Amino acid sequence: MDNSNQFVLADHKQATIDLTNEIKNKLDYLQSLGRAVQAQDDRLVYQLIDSEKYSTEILKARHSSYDKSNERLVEDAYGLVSEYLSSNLIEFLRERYPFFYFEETETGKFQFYFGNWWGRRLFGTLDVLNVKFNFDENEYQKLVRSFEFEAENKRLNTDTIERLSQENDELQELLDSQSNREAEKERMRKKLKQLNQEKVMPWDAGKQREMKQRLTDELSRIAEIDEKAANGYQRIHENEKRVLELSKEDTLLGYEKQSIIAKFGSFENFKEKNAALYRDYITDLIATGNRRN
Amino acid sequence: MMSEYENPTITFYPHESEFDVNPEEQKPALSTNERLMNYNGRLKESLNNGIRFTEVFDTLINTTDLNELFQSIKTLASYQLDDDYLVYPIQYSRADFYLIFINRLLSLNDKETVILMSSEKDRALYHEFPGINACGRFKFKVDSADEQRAFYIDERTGLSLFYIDFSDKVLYFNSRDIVELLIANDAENDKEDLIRFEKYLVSIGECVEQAYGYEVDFNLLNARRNAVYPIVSETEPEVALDRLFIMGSEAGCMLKSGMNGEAIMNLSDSVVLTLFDENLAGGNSPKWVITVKDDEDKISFFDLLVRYDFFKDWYLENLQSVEIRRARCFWKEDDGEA
Repeated sequence: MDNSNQFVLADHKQATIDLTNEIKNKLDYLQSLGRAVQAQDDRLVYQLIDSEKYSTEILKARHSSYDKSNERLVEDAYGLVSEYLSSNLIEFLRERYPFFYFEETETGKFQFYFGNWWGRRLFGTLDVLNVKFNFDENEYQKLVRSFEFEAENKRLNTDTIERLSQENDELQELLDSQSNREAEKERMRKKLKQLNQEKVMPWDAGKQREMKQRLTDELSRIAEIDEKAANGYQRIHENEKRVLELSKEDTLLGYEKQSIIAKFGSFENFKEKNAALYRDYITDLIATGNRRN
Repeated sequence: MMSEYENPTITFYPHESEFDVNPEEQKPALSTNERLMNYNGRLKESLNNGIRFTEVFDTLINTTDLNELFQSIKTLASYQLDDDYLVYPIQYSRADFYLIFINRLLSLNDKETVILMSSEKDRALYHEFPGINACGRFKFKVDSADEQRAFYIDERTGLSLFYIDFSDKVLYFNSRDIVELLIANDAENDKEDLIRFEKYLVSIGECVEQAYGYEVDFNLLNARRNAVYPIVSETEPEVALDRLFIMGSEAGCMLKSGMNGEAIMNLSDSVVLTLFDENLAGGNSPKWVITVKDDEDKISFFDLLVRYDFFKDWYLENLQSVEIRRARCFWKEDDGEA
């Protein structure tokens, strides 16, 4: 039967060879990974799951292309890989960052607190596979600014606390002077009443009107102050609450700064060490023979 | 003192009507002789009652036996010396007996540090503790409803330091008044004196506990290992804890966060303060308490108030939530301690 009109299809023999090779390639990869895990060779596991990162950071060599297809085979097992790698990594991190307290939230997922003090902040998550901290941006920025303020010998919230405290002093004064204002109002009302009852010569009428206007203006000015004072207690209470929160935050930041200085000498050095964490850790694994082994 | 008893005794001459037979009763009237016999008999009883009193009083002031001492104060606590026939114009009050009892009890235990004084003016007794509140005088205020119960008070302020009940055998210390009297206005009191005074109060509790099996609530004076101080706030005292965190930090003491939500502070190498919810594990409604641990079980909550100024300031500022609870007998209406 002549099928010359048919398209030329793949050579089945070649296809068999190709697939066999590919499967062998994948099996080789998985077997290597399996052996690395068996041997507790964390360094090799890191290399196998992300060869590009490993080459770039450790070998300082950038290849033109990386075949990531094998690495994708374990993507759905990252949780388990991360879980496996975490125990040596966190041991290492606890030495280098004694002020971070790690907590596993689900398989292979870790978050950490800054410090063991009261009200300590949840500071971010740990990316085990990339040996990297993902700091909570909001909390991290507070720390950054707090270090900046240190140059001015101030704490992050010093100015706000001062402003709120001053506002409270003023409000307290308004509250304390309430009886004075009452007396003042009474005096003006009497005066106004008196002016209203007085008969004046036509040529004095303008002057009298002006006087009455002045008294009325003054009364409404005092009424405004009264209103401010009426909300004073509430406001003072809110301000006090806010001052407490801010003082607490300053105290927390103080402890955070102290911890960083004690361990890293400076915030700059802390940042540098964070940036070099992957390389430092792999180097440490090499130097210590994978730590536990 | 004996001379007081040599004063002439005033006797009540019975009103005639008391001897008159109720006319409604149709019994025959007493003969004069019977009346005299009757009177004489009652008088003898009164005199014997007085003599018995002197015997019990003798025991109170002289015995060296702890049980006899207690029996004597129990008897005197409810002793009726006067009657219709015989009234003793010069007497010591029950409050005085209780003061004497405290001194005798402490002296028999070699712990007498308080001085029993007698007022020039009215002979009334009072305690004076050298160094405490300058001219401070302490005495008992007997409960008008039950004379076996009394409050040990500071005469000037009326603040009561403890409550003692001779019939129910309980002694409770009063956290609020002790703090108000000794800590809140401590400018006039030397720290050493405060500690000595604390020891004195504690020794009273220990003596009645050991000698007579009293139930004693040492409250904030309790330095024992298992001492737990429940606070007035039923829920977590958040604001107070935040303030302790801030004030502690300024004083160089870090308030730490425990694994179960407890707040922990090392005040020194060996003294640890903890605030926590005692019912956390039990699933019951929260019950926040304070504990103070030290290596030698010598430090009480009160000691912390004396030793650490920042801690004292913190406590006084946050009484509303962290005040140590006190026994119900000290509660006053409308002060929200229920």
